[in-house]
Amino acid sequence: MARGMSIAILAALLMIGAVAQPSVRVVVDSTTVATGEPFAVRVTASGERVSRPVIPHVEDLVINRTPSGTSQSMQIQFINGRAVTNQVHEWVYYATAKREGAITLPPISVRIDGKDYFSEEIQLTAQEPAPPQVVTPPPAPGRPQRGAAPSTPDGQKEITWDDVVLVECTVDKRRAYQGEPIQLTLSIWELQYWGLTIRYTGPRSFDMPKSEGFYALPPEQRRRVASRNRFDYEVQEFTQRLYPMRAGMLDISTWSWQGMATVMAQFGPKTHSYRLTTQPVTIEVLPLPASPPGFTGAVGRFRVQAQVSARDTEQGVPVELLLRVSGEGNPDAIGAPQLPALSWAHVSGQLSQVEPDPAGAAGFTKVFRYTLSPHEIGEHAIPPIPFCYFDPASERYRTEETRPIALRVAPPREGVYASADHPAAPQYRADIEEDIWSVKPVAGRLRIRGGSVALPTTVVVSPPLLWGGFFLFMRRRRRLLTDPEYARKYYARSRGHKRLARVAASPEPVEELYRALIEFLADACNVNAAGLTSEDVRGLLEGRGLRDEAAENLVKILRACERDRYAAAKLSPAEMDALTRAAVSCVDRLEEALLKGRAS
Amino acid sequence: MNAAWMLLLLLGVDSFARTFEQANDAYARQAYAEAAQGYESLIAESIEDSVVFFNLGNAYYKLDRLGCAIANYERALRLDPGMTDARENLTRTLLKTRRKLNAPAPAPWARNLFFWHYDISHDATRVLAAACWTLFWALLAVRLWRKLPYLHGAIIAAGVLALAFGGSAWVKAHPAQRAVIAVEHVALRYGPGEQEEVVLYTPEDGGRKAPADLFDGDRVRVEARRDGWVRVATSDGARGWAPENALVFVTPPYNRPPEDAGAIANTEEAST
Repeated sequence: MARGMSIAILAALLMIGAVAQPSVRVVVDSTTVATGEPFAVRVTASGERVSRPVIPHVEDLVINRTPSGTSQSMQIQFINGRAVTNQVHEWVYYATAKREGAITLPPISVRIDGKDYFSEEIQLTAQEPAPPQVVTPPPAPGRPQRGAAPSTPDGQKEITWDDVVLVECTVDKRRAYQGEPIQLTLSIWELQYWGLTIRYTGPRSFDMPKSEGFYALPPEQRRRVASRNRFDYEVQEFTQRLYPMRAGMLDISTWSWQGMATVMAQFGPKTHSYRLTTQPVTIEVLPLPASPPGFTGAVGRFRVQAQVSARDTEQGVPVELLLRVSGEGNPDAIGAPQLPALSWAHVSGQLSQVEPDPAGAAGFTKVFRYTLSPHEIGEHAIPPIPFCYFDPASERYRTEETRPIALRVAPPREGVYASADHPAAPQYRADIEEDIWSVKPVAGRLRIRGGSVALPTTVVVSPPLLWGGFFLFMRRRRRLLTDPEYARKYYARSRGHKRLARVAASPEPVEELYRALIEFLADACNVNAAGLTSEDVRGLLEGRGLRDEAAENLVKILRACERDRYAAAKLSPAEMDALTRAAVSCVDRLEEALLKGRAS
Repeated sequence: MNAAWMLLLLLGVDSFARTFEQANDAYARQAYAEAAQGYESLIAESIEDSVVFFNLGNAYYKLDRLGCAIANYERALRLDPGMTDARENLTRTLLKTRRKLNAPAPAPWARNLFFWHYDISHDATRVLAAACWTLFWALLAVRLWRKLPYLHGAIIAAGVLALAFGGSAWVKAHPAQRAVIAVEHVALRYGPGEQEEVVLYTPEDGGRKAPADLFDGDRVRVEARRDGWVRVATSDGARGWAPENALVFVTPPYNRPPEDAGAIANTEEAST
């Protein structure tokens, strides 16, 4: 069975070589085309050696002679038992009709296997293009698509350019009292659709609509997704709080959005430019009714709270009174509430600051700080502090009051301010004065001008000095590792001392002493220690100009050792001890002498 | 100087702390002149502390000596650029001055080279310079011991930083002399002396040619000093000589402000 299959495959392969009949075919997307809109012309040629098509010149058509796409494939067909190979080439050209009416696309020639082959001519009908609003870019099958498939309410998949970008300007009320907050919202709706790109091409600085006669807070921006006419949009919203400053009819001007939308259609991208303008908005601003005494300009709805920094204080020690006004309205229009007169304390000026609503809502808290300096001892109370505002919802003035606050003022402690043990005296804690930040205590010692130069000098000089020491250390270390002669001389003395220290404990002290001295000298002079005798040592030392007592003593010690080794004259322990001590002295002096000699 | 400093340490600086607390106490009693006197005595005793300058600025502010207050807030900020209280009080005081004249800008080379160091205190630059200097030598020592990747780059970076912070510390230690007018009005003259004519100049921001009048709180750059007179320049292009006792110097050596804040010179003769 397997053998039969192999023969069949071999036969099939042998028969490859037969080639299909060459052919050229041209197709267009549609024989009815719109003037000015590109359409694709596909040229397909099959054969073994296929050249590029020759695109003829057509008076009524603009044909891009550079193919926007090419493809190549190979087919193997079995025709009447013969395997037939077929190279198939395809080129895609884009053409545009210049005029309306019948246009003939003449035959296109392709050279296949050395011969020219021609396609059939094609009759085209060019028409006026469809209205530009209509775009029909069906989503590519299987491609990701954001949101639901866009469709018109009648169910057709059709989007007009007008649906792509929308701009709106809205206000939450058209009639308001002077100072009442108005929310202005500017919305830019951008259609969510695959292949659609929307680009802002307007001025770089983004300005909200002009609103003369209004006090405007800085705008805030947010994004959300919303549906409109069954399409999905990404909405960019700019909200701004406006406070009308005068009564009458106030206008919020038009606002323009300039941009460009590009959609990937079947035959290339399509672009549309926009300049969208919102309608102007007119607000009727009503004047405030005659205000009661104590009204400082707050319009909206507010709450008021009071608190003190301490309930117990001392005579002359100020406490801070915080008055918090929370609500919605123009914080800059709220004046400081007038405190009731306090006979027992002096009230100094106020300082205010605005805190945004921690919940992120449109509300705020304006904090007024007063400094109360009690000058009467006893139990006192801060009476309710009234806060008057106009409530647009009920269209009348309202007055909120704080709760009374009890305060106990004790007699002052003796010398509390002058005491160095009391650095954080209470008057320093209430650190806001009428209009400037108050004096401070000093933490630690007062600084003296100039100061010592020792520390900076040490800081500047120490690192290079330490580095210099480290450099010398590393250089010596490297030399000891790389220069054996230097290393032998460097360690000669310490090694000699170590060996001499072992002499007494050695079973053969004379031999140990002899070897210690010979090796010391060999190391110090960088010679081979093997075979050195006392006479060699004398010659060595004389050769280096050492003829002093230490050299003589060394030779004598070596001779004494040699006598002990080769003659019957054995050294007694006492003699041995004396020789060892003399050897230690010799080693030190010879080392010095050798160093001196090296230096000279 | 060094010996004097050591002597002060040995004698104990607690007397300074006592004087400081007494001055703060006087301030709390609203005896601002007494408080200012106390702080000034500390400065005369070589105390150079940003808090002392700040408190002295407050005392002068309360005495309505705006120029003296501005000079002392400037002194505090020179020592501690991060002292926001001093910055806010300075701003508030400057708003009360007649001309609200800008401070003279540093020299262009200093502005271009040290654009980054104006918000860093002198102490911080010194510490950073010392740290980078030590790091530079430590990295050089590491290089002797072992070759590590990126070591060359780190050495160069540490060296450059040490140079930058060292240069910054040096510039801060040798600042351009600045001063603040501490009298109600003074007219700049072409030379050091009352007999010299009053300078006429055209402000850089346009306007007509006018006598170079300086007022309480105007900040100036000191260019030269001679015989009790100081040649100063303002940010709007006026340059001339003013009597030294009409100024409070922001940079050392510190001087006491004039006792009388009244006019020292006027421009009537120039105007006529």
